[in-house]
Amino acid sequence: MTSKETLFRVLRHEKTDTIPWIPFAGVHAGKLTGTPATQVLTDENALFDSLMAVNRLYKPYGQPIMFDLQIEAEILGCELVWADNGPPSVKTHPLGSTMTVPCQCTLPKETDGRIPLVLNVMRRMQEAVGHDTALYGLICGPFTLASHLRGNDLFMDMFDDEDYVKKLLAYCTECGRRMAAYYTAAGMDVIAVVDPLVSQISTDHFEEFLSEPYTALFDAIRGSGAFSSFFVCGDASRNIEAMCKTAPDSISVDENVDLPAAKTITDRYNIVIGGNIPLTSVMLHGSQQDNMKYVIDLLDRLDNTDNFIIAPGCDMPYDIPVENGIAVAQAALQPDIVRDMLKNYVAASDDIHVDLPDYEHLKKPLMEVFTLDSATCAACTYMMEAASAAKARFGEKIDLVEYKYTVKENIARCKAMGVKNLPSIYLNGKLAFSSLIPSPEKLRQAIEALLP
Amino acid sequence: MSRLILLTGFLGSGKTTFLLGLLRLYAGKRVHVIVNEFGQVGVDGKLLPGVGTALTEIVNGSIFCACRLDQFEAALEQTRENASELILVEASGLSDPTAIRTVLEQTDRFNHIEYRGCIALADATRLHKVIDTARVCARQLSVADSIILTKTDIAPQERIQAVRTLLSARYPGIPVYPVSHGAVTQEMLDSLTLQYEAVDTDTRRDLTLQKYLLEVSPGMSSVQLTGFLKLIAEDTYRIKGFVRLQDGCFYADCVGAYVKLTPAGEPCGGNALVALAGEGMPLRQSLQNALAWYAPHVREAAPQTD
Repeated sequence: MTSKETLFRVLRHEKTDTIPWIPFAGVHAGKLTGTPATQVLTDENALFDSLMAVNRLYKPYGQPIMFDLQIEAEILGCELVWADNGPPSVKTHPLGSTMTVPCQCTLPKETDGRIPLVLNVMRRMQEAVGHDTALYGLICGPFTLASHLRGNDLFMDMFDDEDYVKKLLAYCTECGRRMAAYYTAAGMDVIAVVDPLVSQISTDHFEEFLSEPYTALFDAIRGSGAFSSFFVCGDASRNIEAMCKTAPDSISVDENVDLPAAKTITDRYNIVIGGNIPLTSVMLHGSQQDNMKYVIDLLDRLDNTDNFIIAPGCDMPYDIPVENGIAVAQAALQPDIVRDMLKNYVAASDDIHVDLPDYEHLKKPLMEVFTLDSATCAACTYMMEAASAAKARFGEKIDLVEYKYTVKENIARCKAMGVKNLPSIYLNGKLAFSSLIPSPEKLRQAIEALLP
Repeated sequence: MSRLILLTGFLGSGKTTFLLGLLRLYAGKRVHVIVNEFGQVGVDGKLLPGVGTALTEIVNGSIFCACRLDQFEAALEQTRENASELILVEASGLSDPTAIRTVLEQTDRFNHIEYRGCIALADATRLHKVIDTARVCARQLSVADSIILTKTDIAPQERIQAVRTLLSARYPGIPVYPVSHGAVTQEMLDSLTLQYEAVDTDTRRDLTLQKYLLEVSPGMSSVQLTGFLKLIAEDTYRIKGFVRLQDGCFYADCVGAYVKLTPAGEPCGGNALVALAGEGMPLRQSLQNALAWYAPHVREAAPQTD
């Protein structure tokens, strides 16, 4: 069974042998290719290449194409402010001083703004990895889009003029329906409706203003043959049940929500819940062990892993270290092996003595590859392949050895060597390459520099 | 050590105008301003008085969002380099200040910062509308150490009085200062006392006081209890008590939406929490919801009347 089929089974609420994992690598995809966020979000080839890197390194069951909630707003006249390490933000609101509901003739067409770019990348990704990886098309949720258009006053309108808010939301919902249709036609398997502002309103207001539009939107997505997901940011705990009642196939929450507790609610509605690896404290600032531990602890806190997807809490920050993404992927893909690794990491502190080579007096260059497990971790596989290709090239002139983290003695060796990130290549005891796979040329040059 | 003051308030409450007034008080000092909003009044180098003022803009959405906290942290790191005397953080109108407080709790990372408190701005003309439509508005006020009532020059007198009544019922003990045109006085800053002390000084007899005693099961974990408290905290002005949990003994001490669970020593001193709320706070409803989420770990004891 492919990863995509496994994810589909989960979204159909069937039992599976493994738990799907979806890295929400929006601008972070650019980190893998050294591409600034703005370029990833505006340059078709840069986006495609970066998404392919995500697919290669993180082995996702599903992945988003473009995580940018401003695509629709930009087309509808909002001025954006761009940044190199994050998605753009909305600066101006076209309905800020004019309380009108625009004509539906103004809604985005397939040829508007960045939509053609997104559709092209969707088609290319479908062709390249769509057989094995489910692809997510992300659209801006109606409430967030309404706030992009109307600005600050939307919350006042909810008090002063409920009818206006409902009509504006109907316009934004129709926008979402059309975007979903474009993306589904371009091969997207799942349409994720991303509405961070949902966490900012009460359940009563959710039910008054959003229940109906969302139910209609998810109906439309279901009717088009795609799965649906309801993404929220922030502490949406109070609205989880109301969200369930709009009948999406899945819900995605961030670290502000106690996921195991929320899952008791979503399970009652037979809806999949995904999340919620903390973006900053764990993924950005934590170590590889912290990331693996968070995933394992989360799994252990769940009563069952049916109807569950492992994912970051939201759009991954640009600068998340690649090795942390790799660690999360490994924990998601091989939880039992990683659970043992973590136990061994603690156990290997004192009781195993490791003799390190005398690096100053080696007879020939020594290439040591430290991996989580090159058989199962994609990035480790590529790192080991690069090392093996170099070994084939240099033959007996160099030595090559792999140390897998699955072996207790190797954990002790990593500690003794001060190895912090996996996978990595050490040459003569010194760190040469970490996480990102070196090109054959770079590796060749590094080895040649050590030859007598 | 840099002192940090957090300036919060809902969209359009006049934060930027107030900030500019605040900066005039600190003219000539080394001040670092972190701004997270594009307001109608621009804050730029030309408007910042004093040669020592630095400005960092966080332009990618609200820092209430977990996916943008990294930028706030990076801005705080920058203040270390500048050796600022005062750091003023103007959070986006949609920012949840509890997320910011959580960042500041990382004292190992930000040991150069002394948190002095949170000033929340409330628009006298519109507060009665947004306090119930935008959850974040109530959350901002609930963690404030001082509330500034803005636009009092254009609000009718009866509206101002109604807002003051609402604020004192929901956030007892928190000083409220009416201002117009962003006129900031030294008194407002001098009186900035962390709310923990302020709330405990409130001894009024109030028929609308809501007081719940909650029994917590020792089988509950601190993560679960945090989740439970987050579901109800914004509808209270105080929750506190010692609890023995699966992973140790803790002291729960929540002020408004800000949830704090601190490891405590033995003896633990019981397994009960007291939750307090005032007039117009829908604690009963949110408590029932939270009890359903975390059954059977938390149970409500008989409502307290004393």
